[in-house]
Amino acid sequence: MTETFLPIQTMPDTPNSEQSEHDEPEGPLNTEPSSLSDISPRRLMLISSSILENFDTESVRSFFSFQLPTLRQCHPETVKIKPQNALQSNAIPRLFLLPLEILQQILLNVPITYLHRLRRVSSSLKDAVDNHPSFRLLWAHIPDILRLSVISNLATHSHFTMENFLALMYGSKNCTYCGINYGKVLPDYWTQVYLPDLDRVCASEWNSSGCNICPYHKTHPKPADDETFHNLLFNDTELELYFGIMNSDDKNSIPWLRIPVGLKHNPTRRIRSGSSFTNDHYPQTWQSRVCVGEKLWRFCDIDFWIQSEQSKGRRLPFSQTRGSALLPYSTWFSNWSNTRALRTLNRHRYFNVTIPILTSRTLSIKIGIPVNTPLYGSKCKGCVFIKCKMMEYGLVEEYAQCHAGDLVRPEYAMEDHVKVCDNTLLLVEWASLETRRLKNGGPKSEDPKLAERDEQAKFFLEWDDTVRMSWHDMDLCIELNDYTHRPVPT
Amino acid sequence: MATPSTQATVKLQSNDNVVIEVERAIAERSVLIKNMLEDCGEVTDAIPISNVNESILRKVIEWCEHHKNDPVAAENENDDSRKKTTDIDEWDQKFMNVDQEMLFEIILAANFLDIKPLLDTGCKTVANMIKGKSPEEIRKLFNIQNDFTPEEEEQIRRENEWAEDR
Repeated sequence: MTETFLPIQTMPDTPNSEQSEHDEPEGPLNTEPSSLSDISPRRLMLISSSILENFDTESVRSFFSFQLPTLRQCHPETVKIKPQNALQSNAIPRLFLLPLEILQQILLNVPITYLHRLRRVSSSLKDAVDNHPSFRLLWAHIPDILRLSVISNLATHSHFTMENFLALMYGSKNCTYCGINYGKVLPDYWTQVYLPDLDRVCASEWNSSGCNICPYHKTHPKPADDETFHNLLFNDTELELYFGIMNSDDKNSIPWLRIPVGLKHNPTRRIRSGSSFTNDHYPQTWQSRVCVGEKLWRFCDIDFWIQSEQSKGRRLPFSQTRGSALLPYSTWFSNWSNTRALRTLNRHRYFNVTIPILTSRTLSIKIGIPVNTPLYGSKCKGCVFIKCKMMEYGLVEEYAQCHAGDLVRPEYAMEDHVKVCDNTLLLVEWASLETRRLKNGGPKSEDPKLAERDEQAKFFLEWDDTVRMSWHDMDLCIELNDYTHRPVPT
Repeated sequence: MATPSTQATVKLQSNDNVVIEVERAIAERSVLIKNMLEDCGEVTDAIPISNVNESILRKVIEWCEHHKNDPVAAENENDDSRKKTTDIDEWDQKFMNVDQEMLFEIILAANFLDIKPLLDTGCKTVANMIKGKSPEEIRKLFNIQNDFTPEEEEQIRRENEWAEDR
């Protein structure tokens, strides 16, 4: 068997080193020996593998088998490690042998979610990520948008890279689709970021009659896939927990327009999401074309942030003074701390969902869907909030008339989804059983939380029984719990 | 400045002293070589590529041959508004389907020779290798040792908790 020996390039500190220096005066270390027998044990410690290449394998092997005992005696600490193990344990990962600028270039191409995973790999990678100027810059200035991207699983997509976020902040302000920056031409037009795709699109101010979207969007359907939107829905509880947005904040504002924490309120520049973007140029609603719910944040106004920050005299990117260097970390840490605390509070949370079971004996139930269980969990959040129905009942028209604003998917997409989504089917099954149990006056749960939910469920059951009799043809509908927009019975 | 040369081929010498003759147009995918040829005019001797060995140089030339007709992006032509993805061309994916050592060597060679598209492709390939993997899988992939203390690891895990899959 052939043994591999590593070149040992550094002289270890040993008690005998000084003595051996006196005993064995030698020439320059880079002088190649004429034969292997000329190499002393001390020199063997400094030998380069390139020297050994000049000799045949057999002589090298016999030489080392002869010299190794001497070496072990002189330098026990160094030689006791078997060379092959040393290669594995001490080898520097190739990733770290790349120049810093290349490593940083690689990190620019890693989606934000996986950058956070890289931080957990090793201290070197953690430092590489944490000290990446773009990473610090982004977390200092658009933490909410990044958090939203990560929590919604958008940031696992290949285009959610730092490079693209930076391009949004500092690149062209023109609309991705029409190539025009209407903001320069018309005062009420501005470009904004369409979050799922990280695209800039142009749109005018929202008003009660709708919003003028770039007409080119009509011929350029958004490429975001169902999966993307599937993970984008947030209920009020989540919005409050993750982003600090309270229901009361929206009382006096137009529904569907929300401003993330950290961005200043400006009545003319809004984060927008929602459904009412129909106009003459674009006859469809955004909601009907793509899978969005009213709780979805679709647009984030990065421009606005930049303008507001620049007006305060801050420079972007920030300078490297000690004070400013600490700023992003403190902001970042604060965000993480808050989120962590909220996550702790939220560990056993439930999504509240109203599920009307609409038959001739119309029933409805408000249920809590446990988030983290594999059975009814939120791995597929869209399932929980999706308004699904059995298409074979042919209720498209009624459905559209009753709840056009609540549609979270186009009809065809819902039909497809219900057929393939196990979560929805399980949910339906479970909801049916729960409803039957409540209707029959089944025993209450011993768990106080569950009992409380049962009470609420009964409450809604009675309420919906009286008001929603007209839906008697529909077998089943699961909808987002939009109780904030309903008249809550007293 | 030297007058533009009509030279059809150039010779490149790897660091293990192998001389490879390539079309000038192909060699000029490298900004380093292009600038050198523009400055020196006619070059009859082999150009030493001191940081690249023969096998890597041949791989780089193979890439340059395949992409010789690609438009060369001007430096100021970078349209930042366009979304960039980490999607890699199918041919490039196959080209980059090599062992890790060679992949990193290609990246270093692209960096040395100043072939930005190849460097980008290499970086994207590495980024794609990271995607979808857990920290432990990344450690195995790149042979990285976990040097965190248990306390540090727990702290980082808590810091990252919000970002983990739910």
